[in-house]
Amino acid sequence: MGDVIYYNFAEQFSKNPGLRFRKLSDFSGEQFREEVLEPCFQNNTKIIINVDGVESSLGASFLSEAFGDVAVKYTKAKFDELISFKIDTPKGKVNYEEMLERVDEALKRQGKL
Amino acid sequence: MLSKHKQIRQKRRKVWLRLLKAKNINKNFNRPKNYYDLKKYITRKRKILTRLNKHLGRSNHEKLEEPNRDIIHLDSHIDFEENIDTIVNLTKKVNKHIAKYVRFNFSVDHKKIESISVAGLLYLVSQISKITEAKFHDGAHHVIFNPEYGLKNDMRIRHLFDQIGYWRYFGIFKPPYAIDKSIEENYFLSIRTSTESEFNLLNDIKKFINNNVDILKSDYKIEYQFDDAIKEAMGNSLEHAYPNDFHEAGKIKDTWWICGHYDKINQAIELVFYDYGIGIRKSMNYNLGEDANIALFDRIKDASIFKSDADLIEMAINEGLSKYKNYLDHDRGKGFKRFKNFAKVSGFDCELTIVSNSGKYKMSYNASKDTEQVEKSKLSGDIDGMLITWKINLKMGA
Repeated sequence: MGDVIYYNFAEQFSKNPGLRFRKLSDFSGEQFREEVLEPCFQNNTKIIINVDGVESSLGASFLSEAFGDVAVKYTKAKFDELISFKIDTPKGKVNYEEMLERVDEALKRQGKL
Repeated sequence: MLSKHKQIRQKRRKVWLRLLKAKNINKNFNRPKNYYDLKKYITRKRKILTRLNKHLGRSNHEKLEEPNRDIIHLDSHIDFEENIDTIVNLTKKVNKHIAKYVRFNFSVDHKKIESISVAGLLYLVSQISKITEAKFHDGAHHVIFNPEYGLKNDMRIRHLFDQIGYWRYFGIFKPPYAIDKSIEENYFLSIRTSTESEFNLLNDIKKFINNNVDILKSDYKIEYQFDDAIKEAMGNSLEHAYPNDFHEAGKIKDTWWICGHYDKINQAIELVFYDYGIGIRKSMNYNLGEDANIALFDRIKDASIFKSDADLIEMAINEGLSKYKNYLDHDRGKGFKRFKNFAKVSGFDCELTIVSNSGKYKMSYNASKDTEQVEKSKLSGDIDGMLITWKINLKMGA
């Protein structure tokens, strides 16, 4: 495994994450998946995401599109190995738990859980 | 102020009527030089009018209350509760105006209004916007305040219209009425509208709530569900309410509105989100593809009726869409569930109301008993698009 990336979501992506697709909003889940998560999986780099600075939360559509799809594509084991959140604040914890729910939903849907 | 062209037409018509009168009185009437020109002109105009009436399905005797002006009289009580029929009536009146009288001037008569809910007011705004857009096609409203059709002398109603930004929304920036500033039991999030996702707006809404109550500050889970519900409502409008081929007279694609109200005395907070898109039934049709027939026209158990619009809303809320194998993306269509999540996670008694097409779904959640009660009803006609209302009763909190 390569380096660990400490990713400040609010500073490096957006304080206000968008909706599911690029066509619906800026800073969408689709954009986050393609620009941030996919490279991590391709380079086998662990990423720790800090969402403390966001003004509005990472909505269900965003999480599902960004995280659900990569979990399906690269397996849950790989996902758990590479993706984590800073969860020592309520904001980090709640967004992380919601993300896990969306990932489980995506895996179930594909019969991979 | 009449246009120059119209003034000439009126003058010609007057001259013609005078000539006709003179001709009828005087058998030895001498036709002036312009008599035949005028006759030809009047005959041509009459033919045009007859053709126009035929095209509009209007009888030759049907007259507007005022020449060249269609007046839309608003009902005395406008809301999505007991008086929901007034919403249907308003839609019919506006659609009739757009179909038949869009070339004429129009006035909206507010005189009768005795009560109007925030949701009713938002719907009224959307309907007037439809008329102005059908007339001018430029996104601007071009309306002026006419005291003759203004609000009655009721400070409560005048305060509501002022504070929610009704006049400002239509470009009437000078408040038409003096408002008693001492009325402080109601706070409003003024009407906002957009055609794209606006997350700064979401933050403004949160500021409005946080300025009045602590509900979002108390637990981040509640704030999360709130963000999620509003984002899903925006996403639902942008993604499903206006398909690519959407084109309806007076409607601007992707438009949505939001407004809010905090009632300090009753400690209740209300948020209303609305779009005038295609509504639940057509939206599901688009998304379900070949499964639409199964989803929309399944017979309900123990009843020989087809699924109503209220049934479809309930189905969407309870994630009934993803069971259909051809649903475009099995994870989508869950946005409605988020609307319910926010209503329930707050820990207070609350109501979620969704109205679309001719169906109304209302879920009342009792926080202390952790029970929910659902009411579904059929309206007497269709409304435009979809309206979502969250009402949280902070007084009765668990």
